Amino acid sequence: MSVKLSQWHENERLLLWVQRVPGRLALWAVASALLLWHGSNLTMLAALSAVMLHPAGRRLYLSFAAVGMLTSRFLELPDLPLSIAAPWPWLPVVLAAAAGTCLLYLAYILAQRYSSWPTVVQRHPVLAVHAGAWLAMSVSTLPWFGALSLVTYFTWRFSYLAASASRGKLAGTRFRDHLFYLMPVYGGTTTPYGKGLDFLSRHEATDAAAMARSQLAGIKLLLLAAVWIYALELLDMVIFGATAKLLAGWPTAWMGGWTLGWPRLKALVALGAYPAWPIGWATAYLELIRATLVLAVMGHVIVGCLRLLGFNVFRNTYKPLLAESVLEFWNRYYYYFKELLVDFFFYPSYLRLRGLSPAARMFAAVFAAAFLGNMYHHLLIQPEHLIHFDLARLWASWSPRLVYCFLLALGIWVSMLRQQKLRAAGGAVRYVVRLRRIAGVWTFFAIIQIWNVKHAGVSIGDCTAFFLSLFGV
Amino acid sequence: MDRLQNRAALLEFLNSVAKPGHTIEAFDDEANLVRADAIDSFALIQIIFYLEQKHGLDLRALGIDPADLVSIGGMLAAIQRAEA
Repeated sequence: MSVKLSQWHENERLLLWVQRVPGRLALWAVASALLLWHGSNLTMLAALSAVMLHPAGRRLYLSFAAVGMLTSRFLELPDLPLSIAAPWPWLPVVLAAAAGTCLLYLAYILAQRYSSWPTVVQRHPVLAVHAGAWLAMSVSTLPWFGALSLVTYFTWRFSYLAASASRGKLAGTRFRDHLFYLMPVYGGTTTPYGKGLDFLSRHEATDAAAMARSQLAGIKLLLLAAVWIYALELLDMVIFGATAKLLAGWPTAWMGGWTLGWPRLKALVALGAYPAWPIGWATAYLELIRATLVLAVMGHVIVGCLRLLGFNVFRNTYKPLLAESVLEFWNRYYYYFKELLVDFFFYPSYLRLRGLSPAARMFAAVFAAAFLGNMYHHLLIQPEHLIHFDLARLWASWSPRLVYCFLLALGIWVSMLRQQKLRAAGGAVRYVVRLRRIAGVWTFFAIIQIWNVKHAGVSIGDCTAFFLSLFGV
Repeated sequence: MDRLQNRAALLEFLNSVAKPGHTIEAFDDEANLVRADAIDSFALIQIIFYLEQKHGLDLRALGIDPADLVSIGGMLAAIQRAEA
């Protein structure tokens, strides 16, 4: 069967070859080299080697790796609460990691005993997880409890565990089946790439052919991430005048040292120094491209690792700049964050509001996810102002994002209604129409990201003033 | 309605929400239609609405994960539970 060049990882002969010993060795060598190039840790390399030698023990090896990751996580903490054990500098970290593993085990046990929880917790398991997380974060400001600030990393992962428990899907699962995604060796942020056990199990390779397919897809993603890293570097050098890190300055040297030297969008908004409108628009579009590249690189490396380990899950970023609707872009830009919002905000709202008309129900569910959920997620990962009840700083930090989330939710809702009409109309779409739609999507996201610039002290007014400057106002 | 009638009606509906160029009959009951790119996540919402309206399905009451509705088999199983 012939496949396109871009689909080389689906080539049947290659798939057969990597299932044999020479092929597996070559695959391991290429994967290890790529992982090292991308800065992966040794725990990931060890986990990959173990999984390739004995795929049946995948979850066990990944659980051991999880403990290793937990240990390294505690090493990153600035002041470990157990630093009194100075004669053995490694001891506090090991004890903290052991305590952390015990806490994760406790979470697993609590989830397993879902049926014995109080009724209110059984009815709202995810809310209970978040109440516990906020309590832990409040306590983390006290002496000796600083490590509890790590709870934000686990909150959504615990949420997936609790959601599984509430659906009765934990029967027959062991601690190792959960530890590996609660503290993933494949990396991640507060957003759980690969979601929880339900999702990962559905995409787990169960035979040699599926494992080969998954691993080749993983290598393809790591290669793609490398390409996007170079593209990003080129963009930063030529457009924004950044110093070269990987390309040794050859693009600017080739152009006689010339660079556009444009400021980044966040600098323009923060300084209030608005350029001529064509430059303003170009900056907004370029910032969208840059943000997409940054996210694609991070997501490709994490999902690439997951695939190398035998979980052939979806990409986090999949050609969002070719999306023909706002809804499609949202689905393709940051898949696992969108899934988090859909799983914990959209569906619960949508399913609860059965009495409303379809359009009103959709409106409420979209706003619950893209507006409320989106805002809440960002408060959860930077909770300090809320914990200290510093409302002035809270407003100063997050008010522009309120506008961003509102516009995003509105755009998604309108896009959903439009998609419904377009779907009903059916028929083929001309190339020009598709291009026009793509341009519309770029413009929408280029504009709303103005209220999502990450720069201290930027207010709604600053962002709105920049937006108006795009129209010469 | 028996399973065969439910299946026929469901396939007719799925074809109306499938992405252009996809015919739902080409997939077996266990195929993940989202993964196969035959439907998108928006279509999944339309599927939930269809199951609620036509079969009185209440996902919350039955504790069904919307992600279980990505295959024809998953949808038929949900219909069966709703009508039991």
